Amino acid sequence: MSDAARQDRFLGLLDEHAGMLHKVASAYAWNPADREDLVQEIVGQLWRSFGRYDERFKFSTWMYRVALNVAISFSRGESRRTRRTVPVAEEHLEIAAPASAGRRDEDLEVLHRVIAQLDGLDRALVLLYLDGNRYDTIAEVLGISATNVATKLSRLKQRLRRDVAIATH
Amino acid sequence: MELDDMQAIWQRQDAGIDGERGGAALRRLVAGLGRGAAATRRLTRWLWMELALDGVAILALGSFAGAHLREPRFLVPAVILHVAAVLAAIAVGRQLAALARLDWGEPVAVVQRQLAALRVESVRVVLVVLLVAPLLWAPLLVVGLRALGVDAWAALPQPWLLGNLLFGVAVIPVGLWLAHRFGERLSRSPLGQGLARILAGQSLAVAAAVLEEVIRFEAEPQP
Repeated sequence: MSDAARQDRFLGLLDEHAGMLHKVASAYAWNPADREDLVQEIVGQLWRSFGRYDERFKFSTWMYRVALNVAISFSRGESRRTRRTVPVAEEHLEIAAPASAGRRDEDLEVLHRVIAQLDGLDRALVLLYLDGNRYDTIAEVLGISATNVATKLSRLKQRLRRDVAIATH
Repeated sequence: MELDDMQAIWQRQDAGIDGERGGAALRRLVAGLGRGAAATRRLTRWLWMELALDGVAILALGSFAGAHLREPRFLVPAVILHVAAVLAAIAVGRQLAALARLDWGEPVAVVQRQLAALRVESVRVVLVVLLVAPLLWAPLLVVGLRALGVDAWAALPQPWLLGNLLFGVAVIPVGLWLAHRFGERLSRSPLGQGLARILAGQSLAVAAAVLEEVIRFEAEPQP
């Protein structure tokens, strides 16, 4: 495959899954500037790793893995850098509601705020669940067993319900 | 809000996002990828630079030692520095090999464990270098002056050289104490604070905690 054809193939696949890219970025970066940086880092890593992508497997699984790996590493670096200078307050948790939605989605904002309290790996698990993935797909993306996914999700769902209820009252 | 509602709210983001990010925007992003610098790429560049410097030091010290085989007063300090440079190059090489093996398309827990282990190793290496560096000052002085044509053993009083060596030994506990006591205030620069945190063991504790977190995440639930 020529370089141009490879890039077209990559862009086509990326375009199909652009929503996933932005949902991952919005779950791991607080403000628009960081989010743009994170999207660029994810796309960059996807493009650099595209040569290793095995077409026998689903692109979405591979893309989730790369995007989440980059996002978790990004957020760990970010949190270390900002912890001593800027405390994370509500006003910093600007939400990644797409501009085209035209209005602030308060429910989504609450959800983002609750998810932001989870550590990187638990946040990945919740994000995959909220995105409607099956347990076996989540297990494949994260590299843990489906039983482990079910156990962790059961605990995290309880926490989500509780934290969302607190945040909305 | 129930879990089904949360899923619906979360998935609703797709509608706006897909329209917002067209193929043209992604094409522009891919075209400008050279500007972005992922953390691991910065680390890789830094490590290659370090390896190159270690390589130069190994060659220069090897050559110096070869030229002073019959002069133990120069040979011994040169061999000490040579061994330190070789060990540093091995440590850097191990980190570069681990980074090269890293496949971001592997499962999240696997990649995060590898990254966390790499971070632990990297912090340990910097910690050892910081602790050993003061001890290498005296051999470096002897070899460096000799390279400039000056015989340090003749030009400098031996008690002064011995004092330097003892000073190097004394710097280690004092440095550790200062890092523990005044780590955050020692320097306003992120680099200075970073080094102080490494000396104080805080960076190692953070890196180890991240590794522990990944291992806990991977652990199968107990029946």
